[in-house]
Amino acid sequence: MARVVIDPVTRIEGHLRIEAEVEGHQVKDAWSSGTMFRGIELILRGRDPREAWIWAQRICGVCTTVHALASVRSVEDALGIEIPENARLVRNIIAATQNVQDHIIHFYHLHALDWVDVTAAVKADPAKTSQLAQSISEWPLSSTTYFKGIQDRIKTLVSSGQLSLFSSGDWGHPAYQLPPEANLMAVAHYIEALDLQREFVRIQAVLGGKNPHPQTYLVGGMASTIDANEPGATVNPERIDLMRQLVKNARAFVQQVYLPDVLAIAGFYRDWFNHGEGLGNFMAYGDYSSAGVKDASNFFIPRGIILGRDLSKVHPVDVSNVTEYVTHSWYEYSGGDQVGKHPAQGETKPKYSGPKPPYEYLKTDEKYSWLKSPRYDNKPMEVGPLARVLVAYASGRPQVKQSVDAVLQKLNLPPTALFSTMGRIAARALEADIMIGQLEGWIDQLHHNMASGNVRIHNGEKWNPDTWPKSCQGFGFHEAPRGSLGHWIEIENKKIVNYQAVVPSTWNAGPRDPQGQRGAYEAALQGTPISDPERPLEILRTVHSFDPCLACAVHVVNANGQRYGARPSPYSGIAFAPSMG
Amino acid sequence: MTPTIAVLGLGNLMRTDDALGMLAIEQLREYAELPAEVRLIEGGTLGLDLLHSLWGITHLVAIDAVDVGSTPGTLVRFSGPQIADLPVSKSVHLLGFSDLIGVMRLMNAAPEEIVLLGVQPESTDWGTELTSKVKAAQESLLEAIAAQVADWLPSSPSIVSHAAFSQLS
Repeated sequence: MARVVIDPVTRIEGHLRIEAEVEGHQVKDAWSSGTMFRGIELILRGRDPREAWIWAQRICGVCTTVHALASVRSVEDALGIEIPENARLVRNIIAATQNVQDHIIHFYHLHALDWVDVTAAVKADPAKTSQLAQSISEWPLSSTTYFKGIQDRIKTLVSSGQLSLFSSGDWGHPAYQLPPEANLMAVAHYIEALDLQREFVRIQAVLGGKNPHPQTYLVGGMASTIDANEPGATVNPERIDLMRQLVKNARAFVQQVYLPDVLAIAGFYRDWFNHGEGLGNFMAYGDYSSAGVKDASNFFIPRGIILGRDLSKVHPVDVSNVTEYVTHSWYEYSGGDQVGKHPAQGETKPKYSGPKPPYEYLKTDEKYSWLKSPRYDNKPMEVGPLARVLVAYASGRPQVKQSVDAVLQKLNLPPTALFSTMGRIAARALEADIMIGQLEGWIDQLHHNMASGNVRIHNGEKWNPDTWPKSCQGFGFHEAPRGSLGHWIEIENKKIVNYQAVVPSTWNAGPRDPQGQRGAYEAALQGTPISDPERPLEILRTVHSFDPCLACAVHVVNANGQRYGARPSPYSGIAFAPSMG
Repeated sequence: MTPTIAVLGLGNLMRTDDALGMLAIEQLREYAELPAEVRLIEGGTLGLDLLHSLWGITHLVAIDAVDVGSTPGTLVRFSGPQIADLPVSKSVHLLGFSDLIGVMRLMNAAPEEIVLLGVQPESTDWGTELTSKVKAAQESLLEAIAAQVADWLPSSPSIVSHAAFSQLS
C-alpha cells in the first residue's frame, strides 16, 4: 500500500498536511494534520476581556471578523449584556458580507482550479462558449467577443511562460472533465469574481472601518455611529445607498454567475455526488438572530444536529456536550490524554512529540496534529455550509427547502446526494444566495431605524469592570463561513483567566479521538478514487470542498515535510505562506 | 496623462530583515517630502486584499527583502520584463507579489510600470530588529525609492534631501 503525502495543501489559509494510504487507485485511509501551533489562548490570559476581540481576530488574516464577533459575544454572555437592535443589525450585515465574499472566493479562487483546466480554455471556441454561457444564465458578459478577449489574455499568460498563480496546476490531468468551452467560461468568471469580491467587501470597510480586521466591535454593541445628517457617520444615507448598491451587484453575480456555474460544473462531475461523504453527522450552532443570541428559535440559520444521515430528525444542541480530546494532538492534559475536556475547562499545553523535520511520514498511530479533536456527545461532527443547509432543510425552513429542492430537481438527484464533495460545493453556493437575500432586509431595517431616530448602537451599562461579578464564564458563537465557531471565556477579578476557541476547521480537520473515530476530512477521504497517485488531484477536491482555513485552527510555523507539488497558491500563498514558510 | 504612483511596502514586521519594506513606508512618511498624490501603502503580508489599494495605480514601486544570494545589504532593482522573469523563490514575498501582479494582468488592471526595489536580507528569522547590514542599506534604499518616484513625476521636483534620510543612520 502506498502512502501519499500532500504537504502543504495549498489554495487554503494556513498549513495543512494530508497523509493517505492508497490501494488499487482508491484511498483506504487518511490522516489530517495541522502543522502549526496556535497560541492565542495563552496570549489572551491576564488581559482585559473588553479587548479580547482585538487579539482574537488576529488569529487569522482572512476571516478576521468572525473571531471578533465570537469574542465580544463570549464576554457579553459572561456579563449578561444585551446589545441594541442596531448593533445586532450591523453585526449581521458584516458577518453575512463576510460569508458571501468568502464563499465566492472559495469557489472561484481556491477550489475551481480543481475542476477547471485553465490550459484547456485556450482550445475553446469563443462562439460556442458564448452559446454555453447564454444557455445557463442571463448574465450580460457573454458575447463571443468578450470570451475571445479573455482567451487572448490567457494565451498571453501561457505564452509568456509565466502562468503565475496557475503555474503548477495539474493541467491535463485525466480527472478534468469539462469541455474547453466550460473551462473558458469558468476562467472568465474567475476573473470577474476577483473584481466582484474586491468591491463587495467594501461593506466591511464601511461598517468596520477597515478590512481585514474591522475596528468597530465593542463589548455591548458596536462603535459605529448612525447619523442621518452627518457625512462622517459610519451609517448615513449615502453609506446606506452604497451598501445597497454593493449588495445588488453581488446578488446579481451570485444568482446569474456563481449558482449557474456550480450547477453547470456539477453536471459535468455528477460522480462527485458519490464521493467524499464523510461522517454523516452535521452540526450548526445557528446564527443571525432577530431578537438576541440567547434564544436560538429566532435564528435565521437554525441550530441543530443531524446524525447518521437521517434528515427526518433534527437533534437539539447543548453546548455543554462539546469536548476536546488531545489523544492524537501535540498537547497534554492535566487529567491524562485519553479524557476529553469541555472548552470552559480547556487547557492549552503544547507538547510536540512528532518526528524532527524534515520527515517522511508522521507517526499517525500516536500524536500527529496541532489540532485537537472536538466531539459533540463523543461524536465527530462536520460543520460548515453543508451542515447549515442540511439542518435548515431538515428543520423544514421553507426558503432553504425550496432552494435545495430546485437544485436537486435540476440535477435530478435525491437529497442524500448532498452528503458528498459536490454537495458541499452546492450547499455553499445555495447559502451565498440565501444570505445575500437577507442582507437587503437588514440594511433596510438599519435605514428605517436611522430615519426614525433610533440610533442607539451600544449598551454601556456593564462597561465599567466595577459592575462585574468577581468571576463569571461565557460562551460566544458564530456561524462563520466555514462553520460553527465557539469562544469560551472565564473572567476573574476583571481579567481573562481562561480562553478557548474551538474553530470550524478544528471540527472538520481534526485528528482521530481516543476511540479511533476519524475527523471529518479523514472520513470524507475514505474511498476517494485516485487515477494517478503521483498527482492525487482527487484528494484535493474533497479536502478543498470543506474550504480549509487552518490559520485559526493552528498557528506558527513548523517545518515542511515531504511534499506533493508545492504549488503557488492564489490566496494563502500571497498572504502568508512565503513569509511564514 | 499624469501618472498615479504608489509605493508599496511588503513584509512581516516580526521577521527581522523582512520588515524592510514596511519600515521604508514609515520612513518615507517621516522624512520624504513626497507630493500628496503619491500613495504610500503598507502592504504587510496581505495578498488579494491589496487589489483594492492598487486599483488605478499606473506606476508602482514595490519594496521588499529580496534574496538574490548576494551580500546582505546589497541593493537590488528589478523592472519591466525582469519582474515577470523573477524566479518565485527570490523574495520572501515574491510568490505573493508576482501572483498579485499576475491577477491584475488577467484583470487588465496591472500598473503600466512596475519596479521592485529591495535589499538582500541577512536573516528572515523571528525578530523585530533589522540586522546591522540591512539597517545600513536603508538610506540608499530610500534614496532609490525617491529617485524612482521623481523620475515618474512630470516635473521631477527634488523631493528628498540626502540630509533628511541620513538621520536614519
